[in-house]
Amino acid sequence: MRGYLLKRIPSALLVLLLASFLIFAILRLVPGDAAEVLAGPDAGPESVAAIRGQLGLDEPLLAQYASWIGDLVRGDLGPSYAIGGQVADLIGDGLGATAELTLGALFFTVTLGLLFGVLGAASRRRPVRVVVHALTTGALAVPPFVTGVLLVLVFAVGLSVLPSGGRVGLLEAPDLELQYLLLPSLCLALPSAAVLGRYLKDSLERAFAEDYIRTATAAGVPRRRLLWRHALPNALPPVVTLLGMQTGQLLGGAVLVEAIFAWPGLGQLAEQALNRRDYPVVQDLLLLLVAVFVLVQLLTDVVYAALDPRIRWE
Amino acid sequence: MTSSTPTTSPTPTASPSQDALLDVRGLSVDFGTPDGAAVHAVRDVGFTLRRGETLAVVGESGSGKSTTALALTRMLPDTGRITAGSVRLGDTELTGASEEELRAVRGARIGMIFQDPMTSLNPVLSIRTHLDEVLRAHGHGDRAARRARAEELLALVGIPDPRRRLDDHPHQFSGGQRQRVLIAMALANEPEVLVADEPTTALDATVQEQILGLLTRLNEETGTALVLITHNMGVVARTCARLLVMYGGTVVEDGPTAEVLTRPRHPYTAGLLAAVPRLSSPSGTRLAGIPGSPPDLSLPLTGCAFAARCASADERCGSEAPVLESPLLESPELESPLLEATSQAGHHVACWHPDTAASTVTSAAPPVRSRYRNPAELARREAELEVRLEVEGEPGDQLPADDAPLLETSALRKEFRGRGRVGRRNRLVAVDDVSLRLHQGETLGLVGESGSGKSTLARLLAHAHQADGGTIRLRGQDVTRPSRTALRTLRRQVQMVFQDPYASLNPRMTVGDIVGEPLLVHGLHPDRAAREARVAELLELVGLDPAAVDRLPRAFSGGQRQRIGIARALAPEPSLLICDEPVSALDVSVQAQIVNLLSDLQRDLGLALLFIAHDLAVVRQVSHRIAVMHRGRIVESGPVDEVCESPRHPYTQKLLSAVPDPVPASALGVPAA
Repeated sequence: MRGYLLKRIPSALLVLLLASFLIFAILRLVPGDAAEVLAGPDAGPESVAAIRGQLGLDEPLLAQYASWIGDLVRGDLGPSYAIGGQVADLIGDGLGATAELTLGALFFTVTLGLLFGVLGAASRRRPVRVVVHALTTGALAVPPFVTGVLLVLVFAVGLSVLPSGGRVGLLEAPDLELQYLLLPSLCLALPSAAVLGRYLKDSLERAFAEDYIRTATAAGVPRRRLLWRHALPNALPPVVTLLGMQTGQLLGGAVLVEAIFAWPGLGQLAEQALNRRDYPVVQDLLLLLVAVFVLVQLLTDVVYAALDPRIRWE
Repeated sequence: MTSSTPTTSPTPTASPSQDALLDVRGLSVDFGTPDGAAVHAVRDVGFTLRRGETLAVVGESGSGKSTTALALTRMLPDTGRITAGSVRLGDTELTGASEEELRAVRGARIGMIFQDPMTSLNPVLSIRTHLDEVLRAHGHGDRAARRARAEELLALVGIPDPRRRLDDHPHQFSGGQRQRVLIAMALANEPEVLVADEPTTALDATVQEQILGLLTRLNEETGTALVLITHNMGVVARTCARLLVMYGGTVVEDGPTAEVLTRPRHPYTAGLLAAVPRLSSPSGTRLAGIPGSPPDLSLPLTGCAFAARCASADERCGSEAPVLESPLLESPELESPLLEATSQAGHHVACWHPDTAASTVTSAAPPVRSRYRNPAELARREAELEVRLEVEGEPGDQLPADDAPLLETSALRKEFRGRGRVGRRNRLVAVDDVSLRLHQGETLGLVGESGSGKSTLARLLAHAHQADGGTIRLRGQDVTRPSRTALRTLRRQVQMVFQDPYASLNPRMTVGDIVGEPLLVHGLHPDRAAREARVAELLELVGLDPAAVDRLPRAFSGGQRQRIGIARALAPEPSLLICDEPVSALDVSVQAQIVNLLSDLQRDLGLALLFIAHDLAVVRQVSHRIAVMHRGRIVESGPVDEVCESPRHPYTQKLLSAVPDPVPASALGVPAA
């Protein structure tokens, strides 16, 4: 397995390189640059040019790209243009909050997805299956900014059981932090959980139609065990692939959810940096997201092989 | 349909005595369809099984045999339900049992084995887990005890080195070994009955032989009664003492195997037996198919299910259902032929005209030559053929130059390499040093077991794969590595008929489009009207109604679909037709029709035919010459009768001896070969 993972490194690096190039190019295509924003709307062309020279933005694009990548490889993220401070510090501050939110959302995606999938495919009560279907449809149809507001209205405003936004930090007050985390991560997780649940339901139904389930039924294996021991392990691999892709969605969705719940994460940072054309911050942030995504895909393969004995590491 | 089917069903055995282990009476099963109609898959089926008895249930697809098996322990799919009848296992009535009672019976008192061992084991679970699950489901001992029992079971079914193999997964076993594992699962809790539904259909003949031997041995050693469901008469003759024949969801005949097989009393049984190709029949023997197709089970059954296809049917057969009568039950109709029908001990038939049809059906098989329309043409071809066959296995050598082989391959080779394994030898030589010749108007049979390279060879010849070595010559021209344009003309000359008539036709294309497509692709009849006329002609040629052009494949039965596939292959007027297992997915009575059709077409159109099959008996009857393939090589070839009667290569001998003969040699008074 280690050999297999080592073999995957070159292609992972290639993905990162291509992504960095795209990120760099697209940012430069956006009208207005960091110098204009920094100089302000009333500044004359000379002062803009001066700032440009200061930031090195007057150098050829290729040289700018090369120096960005060069610094990155050396582990130097450099200073931010507009927000102030070092990029590494800015990202470091938001990373913990976003990781917390994403992991929380991942937890709900998996548990709710499993629940929806299993109940939808295997419940013998038709009303249960209908309710699950309605729930997943709703979660898919309603966008997070609506569910977010609804959740706040119900749990924070109406019932007053959970805070409407903000964060205290997991290390400072774990029990309180969980309360703060609950609504945003649920809001972020709902669409992914619905997709996952639908997918698992189909996958389970296919597994239940397989010959080996008939074999196990003929052997007298109880129904509950048929589901958990015989059908589910076969239904999971495609769902794991989907979960890997949904993780990307969660990272992207975090930007929106952080805004709704005033969650001081990378999403907030990205928004600020983008508005001010703070190139280093945006570039490094996006590249970080790509790296996380590549890592998740690798992890998906590992889990896949753990689930299916037919897959061997060659 | 109401479910109030009168349970007039009798018990076919003498009496429902104490030794009746499984007693099925008046069993009827319906399937719901999306449009609300009911399909009556099983109608009023009854039989008894005694302790340790072996009973075969024979029938074609749709006869209700598998549904009956599933209905015993109520394992029907959600759409199916038992509408009438009873299934008694000892003192337990299973049709009314609770889910938990049924679960306790499944795998403990009734063990089941299914057709496809490749898909019947769970790919993510180890063999030990498989066996453990059965034992655990019925509370067999603790972990250690179950482990010991699992090992014992693997040894019982003949898996070598059971201790080490317990932790392997299904994909690490061959098809035959997987079937053994399934048998071990079915036997784990020492059931009273073992129900095997087509246990060897997916397996090669030599493996089938081993599995049947194992089932027989286990029946003798453990006393487990065996219900063997199959469509293969040879398997029945080999394994079971009693035989039940089903047709259209009903039991038509029931009796001792040897007796039913040698003196069938129902016209259907007789027809089925006549349709089975015999390995002992020489080349050119014509198969006798049963005309027509099985009944539409969604219609209510009035009269005999077989009446529409029966030569001896009269008015009564169409209106009044014959009943499988037991001699010991009082029959009110003493004058009825039924009484006579049950005169032999334990041999029962549900027919108003028993015994009459046996002769009619068998004699309905026309001799090979009778189909020729033009006697002069026939004589010429025959003469030509005889000359060629007389000059023995290598006709090309001594024939005139203008009669050079149509197809000739020399030292043909194809390898497949495993992907990604750097520096490791992982190649599979699928076709190795194959040299063969095929003349115009000749049929070459290619036999071999799965994995022998038959299909790869076919693909090489059809240019679906590129050969790695050797040459292919068509009409003397080297076509091993054809150019793009040459490939187009080649594809016209070489056409294929595929194995699975269900998967090889595009379900969204009409029959007219399917058959007309090759014409369009090769620009043969650019004019629409001419093309349509040609399609109609082709459909007629293969025995289909030309009016069917606008219908979709799903409107046709398996045999009819294979006819469509043949019409498609014939459309571009090929000189070489490659048939890769063209009949192995078809029922026996239909198989005969298709085999005969192919023989006729081959002769009438002067085609060169490469007939690939695993069924030696079929191959013998259609082929002039035969080539036996084993591990990518042709190990023996020659005139078909010669090879079948005096095989020289040990592999050919093994292959021939593994084919079960439908008529027990002892019953015919012929000493076993």
